[in-house]
Amino acid sequence: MKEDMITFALPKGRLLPLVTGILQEAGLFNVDMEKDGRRLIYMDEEKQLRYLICRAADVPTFVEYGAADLGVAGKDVLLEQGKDICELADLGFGKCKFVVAVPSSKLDLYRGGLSGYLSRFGQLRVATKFPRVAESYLRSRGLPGEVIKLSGNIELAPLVGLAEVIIDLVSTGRTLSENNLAAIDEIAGATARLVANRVSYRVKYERLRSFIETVKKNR
Amino acid sequence: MENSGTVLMPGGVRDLLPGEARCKREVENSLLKLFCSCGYQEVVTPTFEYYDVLAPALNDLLAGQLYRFIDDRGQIMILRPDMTTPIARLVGTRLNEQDLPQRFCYAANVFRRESHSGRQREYYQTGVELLGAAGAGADAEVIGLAAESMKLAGVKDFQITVGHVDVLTGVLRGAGFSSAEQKEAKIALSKKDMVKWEGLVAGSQLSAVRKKDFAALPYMHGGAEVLDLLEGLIRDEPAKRGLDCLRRVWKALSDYGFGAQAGIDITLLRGLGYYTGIVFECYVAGVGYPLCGGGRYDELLAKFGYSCPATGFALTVDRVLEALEKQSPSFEERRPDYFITGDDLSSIAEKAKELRENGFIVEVDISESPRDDAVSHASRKGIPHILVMER
Repeated sequence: MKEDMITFALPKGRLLPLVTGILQEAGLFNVDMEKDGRRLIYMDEEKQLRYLICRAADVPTFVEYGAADLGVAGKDVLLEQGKDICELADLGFGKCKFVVAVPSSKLDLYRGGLSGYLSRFGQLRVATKFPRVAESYLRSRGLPGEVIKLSGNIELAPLVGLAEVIIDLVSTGRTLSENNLAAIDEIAGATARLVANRVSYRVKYERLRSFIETVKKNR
Repeated sequence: MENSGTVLMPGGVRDLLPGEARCKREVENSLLKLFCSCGYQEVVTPTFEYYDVLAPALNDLLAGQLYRFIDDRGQIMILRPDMTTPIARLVGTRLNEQDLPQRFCYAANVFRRESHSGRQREYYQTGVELLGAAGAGADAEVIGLAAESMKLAGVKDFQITVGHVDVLTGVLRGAGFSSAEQKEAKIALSKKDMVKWEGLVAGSQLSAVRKKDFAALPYMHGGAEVLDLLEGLIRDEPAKRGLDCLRRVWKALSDYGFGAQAGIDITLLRGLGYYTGIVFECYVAGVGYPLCGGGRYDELLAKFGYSCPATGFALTVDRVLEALEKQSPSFEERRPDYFITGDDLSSIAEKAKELRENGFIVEVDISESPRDDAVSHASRKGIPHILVMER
């Protein structure tokens, strides 16, 4: 591989068209994405750019190890993974937030927040896909609670008594209300971020700078 | 898994095969030789020590990465996560009456818990500690040695980034950041969270022009022009002294011939509160982590009852090997030069000794198989000279 090649890890899924949109406007992404989306690597020989199509949650890993110089990842993923990478710019899209939610029918019990609940009930179980975010939230507020890691459909947990509350990522809040859940606290907002490997950002900075500037300008 | 328990190794540790082990040994030997030629003496410390003794002195980055265990007397032990702290313990408690400065070097394995799978948990570090010298001259000597080490190890096109913690503090104070904001800014910079940094800058009292300079600080990697810009951003004495130190180190690096590879980035932080002056790291394209790093840590030895300025660096041999492997694909195994077979055992012994004394690698046939088999084994192995000695 050539030294001055830049490898860019792109997240598959809802962010992909938004990211490629920015890149195309900036004149940086001159390849046609295949419709079936099976190809994993796209090359732009002329500009010495290489694009990898990764799972959104894997982008930070590719970037941390230096397999990719740059990448786009949601702040939610960055918060959960705590990887050692540079966060260069807020791209503004892919807005969502981490919330604490409880069954709407039990909203009364949570008037005093989670600590109010814990002064009357002995146990607090939190179902989430984001155990690290959940644990640091509980710790920062001094709340004793047990985090139960699930892989999806978190909304089920309080409905069937697996957990009292959930911590989940929401964009519109529709899934919550459809499942009769209500948010009682917001933990953090998240948007898509441009990230870079800690070494690339220094070693390849001359090449990265114009690239980053263009992306920032078009966000 | 059928083989579980018999073949598998835990993640984060590795075997070094002959070619790699040889390359590692050669890198370590050449670095130790370089350090010795500069007056650094090798020391060896135990692989594990008391938790209570080492833990309070560790860099905050390492505190969460310790391997702890309880020994047969109920004492809590840790596997050493670096060599700087044990050497500080050694000097602070046993060598505290010797003339200063003192120079030490080491080549040792260190152990760190890593939450991310795939990262090494045991790796090899080679480095130096220079104790009892507070001036920029000592910093320049250590950084110069770090750069020389990279060159000697054969790493091509590496880059050295140098910062200074007092200069950064002075810049933040000069921008009107409160001490809470300074801390917040340092955390953001050490995590390389530029979004947070730019937010802090945007919310500060700085003028619009200055805001632009500040937002660009983490991206600067220049020389004299960065020093000049910094001059205008600081007012307090510690920061001015720090900048003067940075200037002298910068000049020294140019004098040593590394000017083109060096850059100043005052947002470089290696943990919070451990380093007290110059900090630096070396990088190379293609390896995702710094190959070596170090700086000044004047407050460490006081934790062992001996107040004494100190500076040093550690080079991670595993990452240097990774860089070398990227440059030229495989590590060559060492092949013997001679293969000797036959039934005249005393002549064989004599000939082998003579050749070995002349620096050749000689393999003596111990297979007890027919000569033709032995000879074909040797030629398959690619041994260039085959001697047959019959009575």
